[in-house]
Amino acid sequence: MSYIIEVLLRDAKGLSAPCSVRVPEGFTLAQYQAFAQTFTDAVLLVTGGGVQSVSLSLDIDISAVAQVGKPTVLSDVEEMAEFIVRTNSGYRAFIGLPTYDENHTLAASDVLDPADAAVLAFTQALTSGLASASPCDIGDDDIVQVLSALERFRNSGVKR
Amino acid sequence: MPKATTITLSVVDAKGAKSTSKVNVPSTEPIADVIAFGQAYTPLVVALILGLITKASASIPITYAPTGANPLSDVQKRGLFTFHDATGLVAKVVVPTWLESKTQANSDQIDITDTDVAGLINLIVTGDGTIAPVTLRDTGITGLDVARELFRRRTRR
Repeated sequence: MSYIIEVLLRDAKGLSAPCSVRVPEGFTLAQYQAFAQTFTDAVLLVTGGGVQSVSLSLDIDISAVAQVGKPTVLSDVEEMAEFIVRTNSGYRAFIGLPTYDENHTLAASDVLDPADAAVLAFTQALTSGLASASPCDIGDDDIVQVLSALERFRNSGVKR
Repeated sequence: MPKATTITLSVVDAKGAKSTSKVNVPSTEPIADVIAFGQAYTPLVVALILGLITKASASIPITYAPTGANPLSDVQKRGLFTFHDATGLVAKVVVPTWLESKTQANSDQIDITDTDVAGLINLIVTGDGTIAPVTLRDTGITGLDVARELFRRRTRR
């Protein structure tokens, strides 16, 4: 399985488009960073766009830990669990789970049952981490508290 | 530019509608730890949802100072490079906002003798001394087949 280095380029009108190249797995993050920077330098010499961002993308093998087959019949991406969390610096962040199973919600309420084993395991993972990595917000700020856990419904949008 | 690594779980429901769920981990986490976190986090999500997780991926930010765009730059102008591996399997690299000054006169062929173009091709074929790009099947790129400029239609305003 290979990884992808993506340079997102933006033109003078503000439109963006990616320039991607595949690289083999098995190297350190520092080595990928070095290649990505060299690649971006080389791309900039033949383009007129500006660099918006550079990233390394990879697929995570979840074949051993996720279900296979079909989604449950009553699943809807519009039904969500919404976790509002607080970071170490006091910022708020949002984590949403589409196709949320309402069986984990308190009766006659929109609050997720804090005593439910699955809810408890998930919220503990947000604050305490898993497998030596701990979740954070987009600014690398560690999540320290779950402020709320509610079921939410999003708009279905226009149907054909 | 985001600082953190983003793990994205792709979810599909019974109607075939798709959505995603994202969680961030520090950008300093080694790749193996990012993968291990994703594999430990996914079952916790599975326990709370009814949909099917079809894919898990991670996007790790690379530090690079944003640069400005040339006033005449357009993402519709592209440089298309088609490379091959030892068996002939192709790998395409598309470069948006292509500089037309790197294209041969009266032609759509990219000037592969241009120093900057040659530098990019060489980097993709031979790598930086540590990492060398690969095809979709993870095979090493061995040479260049096509290098030409290409325009795509604007699809939105």
